[in-house]
Amino acid sequence: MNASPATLDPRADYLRRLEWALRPLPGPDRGAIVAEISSHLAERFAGPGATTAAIVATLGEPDDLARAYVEDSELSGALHRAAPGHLLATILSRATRSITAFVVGLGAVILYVLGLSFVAVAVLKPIAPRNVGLWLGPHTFDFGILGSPPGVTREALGLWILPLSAACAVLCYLAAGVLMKRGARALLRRPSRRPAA
Amino acid sequence: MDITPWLAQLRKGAAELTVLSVIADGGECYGLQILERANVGGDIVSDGALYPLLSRLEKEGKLSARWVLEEGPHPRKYYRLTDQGAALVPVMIQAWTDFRQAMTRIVEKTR
Repeated sequence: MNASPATLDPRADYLRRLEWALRPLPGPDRGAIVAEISSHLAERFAGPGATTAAIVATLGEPDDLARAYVEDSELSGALHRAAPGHLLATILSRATRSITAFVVGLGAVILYVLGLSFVAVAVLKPIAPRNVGLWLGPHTFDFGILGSPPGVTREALGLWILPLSAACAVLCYLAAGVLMKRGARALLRRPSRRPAA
Repeated sequence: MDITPWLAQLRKGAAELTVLSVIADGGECYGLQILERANVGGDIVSDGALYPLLSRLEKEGKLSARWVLEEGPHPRKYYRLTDQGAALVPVMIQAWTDFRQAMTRIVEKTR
């Protein structure tokens, strides 16, 4: 039989809701957080004139408090695991709530797409040498993979396009990594939504 | 004029230095003690902002923590600065002092 809201111990109810909202975190972390907040609530409820409403007002709703822990944990974890895909997914998951996350996520996606395009250029040059290259002329600047290369201008790079594209691809990859790590650190310092400081 | 969001951002920016300074000054202490000391001159850090911040500072290696079970009616988690945290505090205080002086020069001109 479920207890009605009126008969629930407010402290136990708060902790139950907090633990539920913390479920994305590993069990030991969740237990440590709930134990600390339980201790805090016990101290606050023992104080003079303590009311549930006043305590929840300063601590925040369980969902908001849990979100602050989870978002920090996800970003810290992604930062320390140094897995770019995981870091990008974590940043993009916050893009609808934070302009910084949106800009960083978009920038990283653009850099990765650019990097992949350079890889494609390097891979396709030996396969289709006439369609891949850099064409320069008085009114022409074409770089990359073209179905119909301009006939009047000569391709300028030849096989030099291979190392050049590979270097550009590596630069894009590294730049995306630096951008995401700096962005994640900025997001950790300036969370998107959490109880007021 | 509602300046509440701006004020909240200001407090968030100051929270880390406030907490580290309180622990540097008062030695090992637990959450409620940190809150009381941090807010002695006004509302700087709320209960709900403190605990995730403590968790992050611990993960970043700036604080270490231990549970004390016997001391009071409830177990308490005590925090103290690590060597890394202790080295960071004077650097942050210097940066804060420079920032405050620069802001004071600008803001007092426009009074």
